Amino acid sequence: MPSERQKYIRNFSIIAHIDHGKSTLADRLIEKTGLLTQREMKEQILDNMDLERERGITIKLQTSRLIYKAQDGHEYILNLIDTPGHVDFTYEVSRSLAACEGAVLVVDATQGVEAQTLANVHLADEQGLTIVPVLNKIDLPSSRPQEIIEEIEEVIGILAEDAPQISAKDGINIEAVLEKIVSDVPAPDGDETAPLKALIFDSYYDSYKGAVAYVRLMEGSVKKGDRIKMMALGKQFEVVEVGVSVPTPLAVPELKAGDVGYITASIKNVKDCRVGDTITFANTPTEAALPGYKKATPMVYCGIYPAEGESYDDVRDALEKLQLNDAALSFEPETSVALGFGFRCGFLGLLHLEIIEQRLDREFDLDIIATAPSVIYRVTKTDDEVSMIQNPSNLPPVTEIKMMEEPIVTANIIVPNEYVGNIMELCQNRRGEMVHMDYLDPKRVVLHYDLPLNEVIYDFFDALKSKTRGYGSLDYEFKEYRESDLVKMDILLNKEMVDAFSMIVHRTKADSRGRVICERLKEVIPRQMFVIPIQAAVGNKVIARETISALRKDVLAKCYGGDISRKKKLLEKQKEGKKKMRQLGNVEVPQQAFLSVLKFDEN
Amino acid sequence: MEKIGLYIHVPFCNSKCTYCDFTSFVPKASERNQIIDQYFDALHTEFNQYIQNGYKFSVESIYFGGGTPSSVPASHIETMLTLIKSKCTLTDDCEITLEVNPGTINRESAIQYKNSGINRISMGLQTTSNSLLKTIGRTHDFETFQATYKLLRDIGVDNISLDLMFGLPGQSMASLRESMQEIIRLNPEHASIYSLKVESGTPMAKMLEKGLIKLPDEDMEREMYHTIIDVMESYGFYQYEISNFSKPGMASKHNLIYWHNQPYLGLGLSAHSKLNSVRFANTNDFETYLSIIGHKNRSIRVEETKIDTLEDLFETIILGLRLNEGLDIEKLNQAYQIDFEQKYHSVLEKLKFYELIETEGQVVKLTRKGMDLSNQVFGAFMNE
Repeated sequence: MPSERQKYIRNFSIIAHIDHGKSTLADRLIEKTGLLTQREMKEQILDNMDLERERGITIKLQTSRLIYKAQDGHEYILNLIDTPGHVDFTYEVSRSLAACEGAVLVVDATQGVEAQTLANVHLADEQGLTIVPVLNKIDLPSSRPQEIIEEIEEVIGILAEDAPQISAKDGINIEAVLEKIVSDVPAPDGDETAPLKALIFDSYYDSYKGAVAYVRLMEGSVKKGDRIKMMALGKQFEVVEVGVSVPTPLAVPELKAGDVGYITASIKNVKDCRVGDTITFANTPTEAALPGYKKATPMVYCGIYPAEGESYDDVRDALEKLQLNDAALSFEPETSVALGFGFRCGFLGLLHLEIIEQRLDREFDLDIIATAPSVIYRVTKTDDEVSMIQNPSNLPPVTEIKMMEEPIVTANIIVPNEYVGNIMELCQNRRGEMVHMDYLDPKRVVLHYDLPLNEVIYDFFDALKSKTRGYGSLDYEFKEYRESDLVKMDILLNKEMVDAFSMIVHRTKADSRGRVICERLKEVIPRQMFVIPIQAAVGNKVIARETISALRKDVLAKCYGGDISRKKKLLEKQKEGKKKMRQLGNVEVPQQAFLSVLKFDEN
Repeated sequence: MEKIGLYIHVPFCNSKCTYCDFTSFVPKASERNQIIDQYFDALHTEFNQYIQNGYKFSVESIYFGGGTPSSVPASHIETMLTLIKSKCTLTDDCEITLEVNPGTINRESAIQYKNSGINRISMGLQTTSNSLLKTIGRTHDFETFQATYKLLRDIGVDNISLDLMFGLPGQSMASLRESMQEIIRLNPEHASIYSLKVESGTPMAKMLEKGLIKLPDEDMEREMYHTIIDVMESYGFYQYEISNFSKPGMASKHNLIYWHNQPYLGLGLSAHSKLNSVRFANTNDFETYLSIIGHKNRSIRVEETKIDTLEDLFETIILGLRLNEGLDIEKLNQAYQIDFEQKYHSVLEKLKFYELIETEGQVVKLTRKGMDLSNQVFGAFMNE
């Protein structure tokens, strides 16, 4: 039973498919609760990184405490816990949800239920949360609230008849959402006098305070000076500050069971402050840690190398800084024959990889070259030794390999039914196996596929979008390792193997992939002084070949009126261009070439 | 006394060609005479500034370029030449060139030019094909050109150079060969034959972007170039530079001054100069340029670069390599106190490996392949 204090607390998240309006609703809730003046409101206050705003998704969580005076006359503390909105961050989402009693489910009244809607509802169900459906974008002429209500009831199986119909963009009916949260979401409970038991659902690195843990207190209380322990890691710290997020940090004397807030304890590294871990007292610990803790495990790896003119140390420093805030990012030194000294980096998924690449560019102004991403293969050698291979260059010789296995994911793909044929073809091209297919409504279908992850990490999502005119949506999770007929495909430039281009592919795919890559490389590598053969090979067998013919003309015919400086400027520009090229053997290769091997879709 | 070449820019045209990105414009008919008068006033002022500042020149070549110098009244050219002759020494064999566009002169003005000292005419023909002339925005046809050419020959002009272009939109090999036959028949003393370069921002660049015209591909363009060289040489023209051909002894002195990296003075709008190891350029803004009239010390310079010895060496190399006579290693070593072959050992090795340059005794020169890829050769020296 909630205590008198807890009765006026509500802890909730907002869950939605991408672009259904989660961040906009969060902004409106903060506005309506009057914690901040209109002037203080920055657009999309919870999305604090440019990149997130640009892609319309939230990557790093931020939580906010709202004060709301409800129609019943009481003042409520509403703790809004933001969740990241992408499949790569499923674990993080699940931990955020575990900190809540309810979830506001935002559904776009023009689009209806999408793949991530289902995936998020599934996660919320697992945590036993009360789901508060909300129909958004009601202002749009194409909205069809009644149909969507029926869809929610049918597909998700929750009552939606009295779901608030809102426009987060125009601020319509936001109060109704707040009232629903107060009336429907249960208040937290938990014994305030029991030993401390707090769930870390997020952490970030602050250069003054060190790692800051965002926590939900399940039992007990915590204040400055308490000696605490991270239960999974076993490390101990002394609390320096406890506080709440409004959403800027605001120190408070104490956090108690049912509260959401932050703890700082001079923790040097976010790695010591892992999402999902349980914080308790060092001397009087709680009996058992909260369930569900998992170590962040990378699913996708790629090599990251400094581009020509960038320094190895700068790239390492940048990766270290990024890691301070991102426990899921892993990296270790690696060398490549083609690219020199660099790093093998592990990511939760391809989006995570892209985000890191872009942050290196934008926040650190670093030019990097990323090699083709790879999943982790399980290789059993003839001597029965098993190894996990995440860099194609480390694959043992074919004669020593007894068996190779690759990771398979379960993918749920929702598409309008006119595109089902396109998507089945796409999945078939990507070696997918259909498990089953359901109709969500007469117009939309959910396809359940088992897909090899190495087919998904390339441009599967882009291909899905382009083959469904943007209407298809995707959600996937790891299922199992399966034996597979895999080969290592190498690319040879001017007869020399370029290790950075090597990749592991299914034997049946090698020919077509090899052809596409050779064609792409031919397009992006400029003509040079000599003929350059580009070959794709499996073992010693060449499976595809293109030829870049030799440069025929590079001349400035006119040199008139004594304007030598113009001519020199042209030569300098050429020289600058050359500087940006990678010298692979005696072939100059532009950075683009490394990107061009990442795109697989043959169309 | 410094030996120089003198360039005088005349930025006026009767119409603008689609490929042109030189500083030139077409004045309004009502203001034409006044603007031209003012401009020549400014040219006089600029020239006099140098003389007043104590410069003493021995002039080996005078070149009126444009624009279309023949589109202004001949008296302006005559007055300018009179002024120059009164303040400078002209060498005995001083080459005085005027650029002439077909149809812009008559017998009277031609005689006036000749009498005022012009001894070489450079004619902008570009191509003998009337349809190609139209595409590139020339206002004359081949017949008009022939009339002007005959007129010049009739009054005794014995040094005529033709400006030609190849690789034009829609040009075929057959059309090029036909054109070459006409050139041979005309029998000029000199020809500058340029590969068309489409400069961004020109009407031609826009036509290309829109797909209205199409250029011959790179392979065909080079075939044209090689055909030109073969035809010209078989008819007694010597290719003395990447784009220039002449009868024996008729190479352009003015151009050779640039390529030998010797000093020159450019007068007028956007003109470039190299004097006393300084390269500089005038403004390309007409109003700014005119403002020197009556303001003796006003600067119209927009760029000025001091060329140090290393830069000078680089320029001597890249300019000299354009010439078929090549670079004289011995001369270079003496002038710059270097050991050329040692200093550029690896560059020379690489360029020889790719057959871009060849050595004949003390001379390094471009091969034919090297002419096609000359920027690669020049760039290689820049990287050292």
